[in-house]
Amino acid sequence: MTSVTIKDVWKYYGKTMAVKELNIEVRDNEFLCLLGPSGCGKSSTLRMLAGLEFISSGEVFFGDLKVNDIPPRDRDIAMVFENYALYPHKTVFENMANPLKLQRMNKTDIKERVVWAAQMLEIEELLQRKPVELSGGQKQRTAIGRAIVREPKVFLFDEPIAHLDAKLRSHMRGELKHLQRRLETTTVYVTHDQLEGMTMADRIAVMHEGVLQQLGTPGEIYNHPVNEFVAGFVGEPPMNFLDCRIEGAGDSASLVYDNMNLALGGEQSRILETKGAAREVRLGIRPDDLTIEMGTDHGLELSAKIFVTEPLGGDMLIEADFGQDRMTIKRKIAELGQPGDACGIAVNSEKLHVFDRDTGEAFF
Amino acid sequence: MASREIVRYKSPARTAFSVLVILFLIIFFVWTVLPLAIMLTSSFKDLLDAFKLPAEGDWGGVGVMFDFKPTGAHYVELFTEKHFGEYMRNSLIASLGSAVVSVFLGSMAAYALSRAEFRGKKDLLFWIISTRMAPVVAVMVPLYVIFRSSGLVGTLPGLILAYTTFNLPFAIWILKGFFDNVPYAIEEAALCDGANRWQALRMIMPLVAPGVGAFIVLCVLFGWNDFLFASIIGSGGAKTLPVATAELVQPVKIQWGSIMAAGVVTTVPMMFLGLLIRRYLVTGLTMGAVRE
Amino acid sequence: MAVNTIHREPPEQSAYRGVRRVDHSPQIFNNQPARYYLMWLLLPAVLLLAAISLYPFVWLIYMSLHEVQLAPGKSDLWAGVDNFTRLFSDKSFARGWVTLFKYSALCLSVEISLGVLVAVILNNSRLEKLFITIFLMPMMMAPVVAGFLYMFLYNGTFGWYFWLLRSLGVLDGGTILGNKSWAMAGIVATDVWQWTPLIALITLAGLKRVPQEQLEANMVDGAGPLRNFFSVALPNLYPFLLIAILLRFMDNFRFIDTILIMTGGGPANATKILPTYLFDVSFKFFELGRGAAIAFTLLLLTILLGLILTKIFEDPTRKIKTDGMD
Repeated sequence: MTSVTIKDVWKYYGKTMAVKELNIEVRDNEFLCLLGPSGCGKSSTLRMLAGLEFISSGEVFFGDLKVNDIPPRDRDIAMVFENYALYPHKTVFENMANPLKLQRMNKTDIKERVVWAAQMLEIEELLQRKPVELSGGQKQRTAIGRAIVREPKVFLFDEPIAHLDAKLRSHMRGELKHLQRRLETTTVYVTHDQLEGMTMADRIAVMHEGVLQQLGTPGEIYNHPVNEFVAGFVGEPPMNFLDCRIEGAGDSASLVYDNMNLALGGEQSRILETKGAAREVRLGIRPDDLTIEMGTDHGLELSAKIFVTEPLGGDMLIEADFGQDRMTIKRKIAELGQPGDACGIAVNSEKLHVFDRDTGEAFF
Repeated sequence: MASREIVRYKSPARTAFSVLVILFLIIFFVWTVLPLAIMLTSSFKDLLDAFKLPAEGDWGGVGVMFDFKPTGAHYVELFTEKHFGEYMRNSLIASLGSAVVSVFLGSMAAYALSRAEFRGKKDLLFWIISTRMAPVVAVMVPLYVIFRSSGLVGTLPGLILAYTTFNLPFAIWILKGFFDNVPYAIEEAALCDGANRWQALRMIMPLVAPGVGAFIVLCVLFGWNDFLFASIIGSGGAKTLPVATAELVQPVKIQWGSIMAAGVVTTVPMMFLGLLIRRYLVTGLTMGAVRE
Repeated sequence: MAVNTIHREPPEQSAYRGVRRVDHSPQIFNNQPARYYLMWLLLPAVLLLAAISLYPFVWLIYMSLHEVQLAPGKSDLWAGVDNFTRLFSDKSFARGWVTLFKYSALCLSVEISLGVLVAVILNNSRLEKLFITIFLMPMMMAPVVAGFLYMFLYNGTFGWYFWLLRSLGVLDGGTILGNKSWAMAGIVATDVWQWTPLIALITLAGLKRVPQEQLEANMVDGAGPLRNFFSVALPNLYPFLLIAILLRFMDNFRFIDTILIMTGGGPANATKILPTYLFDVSFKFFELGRGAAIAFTLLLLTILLGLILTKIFEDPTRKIKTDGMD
């Protein structure tokens, strides 16, 4: 139960930079998710918090305590590894008891703690089994059990549910979140799955190529991505991007693409002007913020042709071609179009994102 | 080469082929087992029976091979007059001693070589493997000179050390392969659990323990079967079974019965050990290149 | 919202701690204290190995450059490279090499073809387990014992193999080990008997690695079993066979126990492979300097083979180990 402060941290492997000038403050009892594609430096960051990697430059504090030079065993952390890293020759009970045994806790207390954790994770009946006799989900629970028995200051999760099947993964997301709330322990959770970040975290830190892109609540990240990378990485299906030209000025700018002319709101236009946007920009729009209508006389901004439709059960994913580009639309529609059918697309202009084409930074 | 699941279609050519295959297997079986059978039976034959052969071309007479009155006299002679009990003890002490020293030091070194990255690591590994590969005759003379000057010739410690020249590089090399297969994550998990380095190492030892055990046995085998080192470094006070067996060849008469019995005594324990570590045998004999 | 967009130069090199080179070794092992710890684990073995292999090696160099005197009180005479130059005119030395290669070529070709054949037949058959058990037996036998056993079988008055060859009418006069060409066949047969099983076991391990899908795809494409073997299974076996050949070749000149026992290099040097000749020079003629020079040439071959072997071990494309622990 402590805050974690990452201050100006850099990480190098030889000459290769893994993490660049990272500043994050994880608040007390917060569930923070480090999100990014593989190789973005999120795991290196986590391992630096654990003490498994040295910090090339910068400082890490647990509360007020600088931990740079403290070995893992003295940091009072618990880590859950991607491949669980269970001790294969030990039973579930012994695996979970190991950290307590190393603390020289007495046997009855150990047993009490392990059983408590096992009950919480619903693996009591597995305590005498060896890891080889466990399913993926059970192994994962054991690994979590090993982490929670000792009530550490900080939980570190390194993609703990990446190897479970889809159904179990969604179940575990809920459980992990519940567990963290119940134990009230500061948690840093590394994942490449944006869904995990969105559903579990209090705040998400999106990383890319060693650089922190954005730190914010899931809502902020989703609704106000600061740049094209964050916008494209978060959200499923991913955001549509279109290269557009700005026409007009002042309060009445509009985005032009092919035969489309999308009028912007007054405030949006002003932002573009005050921030000095170039003529050429990139429009970003989420599939949820598009509406579609079949037929030719739709009266909507955009005329397109259906490329393919993918029913998801409730919603429908429609990919539609227009001009050189293809857009994904996520809607509930009654009418199933055939590939090649004409359709019209409407844009919810309040949910538009406009990015600088060179730097990828968002204007709004 | 195909697996059992693959469908086979019958044809006359196929049938003829199968007959050939079976014939070949039978011949190969006999070829492999016959010498062993002859060694075993001859060790229980007295002189007359051992030398009985059918006339040339008398194929029906093959039966005389098994027509004998078994006698344990050769074995009794070996262990009473010829002191084979003592030689067996020497063989055991020298090979086991060297195996334990080699695997103990070897596993420490192997762990270090598996975990550490340093300049010259490749050269070090190359040196280790070529030490193992060096022909015994090539290094025998200087080794003898050194051992004689340190008073190790003809002693069991000397023999242990001599066997270590091939067992230690073997153990380092092969156990490094074993440690390489142990993921770092387990040690990292142990460190996070609050273990120190030594405790973390202990945590992965059970993972390599079967291999360590098997390679102790294999080192025993290498030492036990050695002849050149034993006959030169061990000459005098530390006579081992292969040397003692060779000494049964005397100018006047070769005591074939005793030699066969000595062969059985030398070979049978190793065959049992071989069966015991069956799973690791090919790995061991190919320096870890082939895993089953 | 914090965004890192300012591009700054990386901090000074001095900020690096304990990092020299990181490929795959994580930093729990890549820092100064850990390195000391690992060095202490490594040191005893390396020191011991140096004492029993490097030190003799230095001695070997010394001896090869001297005319070593065995009589007490006499000091060794400096010989320069004479011991080496003399090897060029030494016919026995050249013949030793030729015989060694001939012996190895014979052993390897028979062992590989027999071993692969047996393995292919046995793979996935009901007899596989039984045969594997039988295979272990010759391999576990001390070479000396194998030598005696075959001497016994070849014996000209009561040897069963002698009787067999006579009965078949292929052996005319004399004994097996007493005849120049038969003696070579005799020692090759001993090696084949002992070590074909190893080749078969290696091949079996290799066959288990042949991807089943490749075989099936090839069959669906219209290949028969024979073609399937040559075009799919065999290419997959090459790395295994290469290892087998290298290791067996090394052992051919590493262990000379069997030859020493059976023929001692005779008759008329027909089986005197180089290490056997070296044994004679050092332990019969006691010309230690010349022996050391010969030993050097043998070690050179060892080093060459060692280089090839380490290359194979390193080469990831030839990775023939299984993943993970077995």
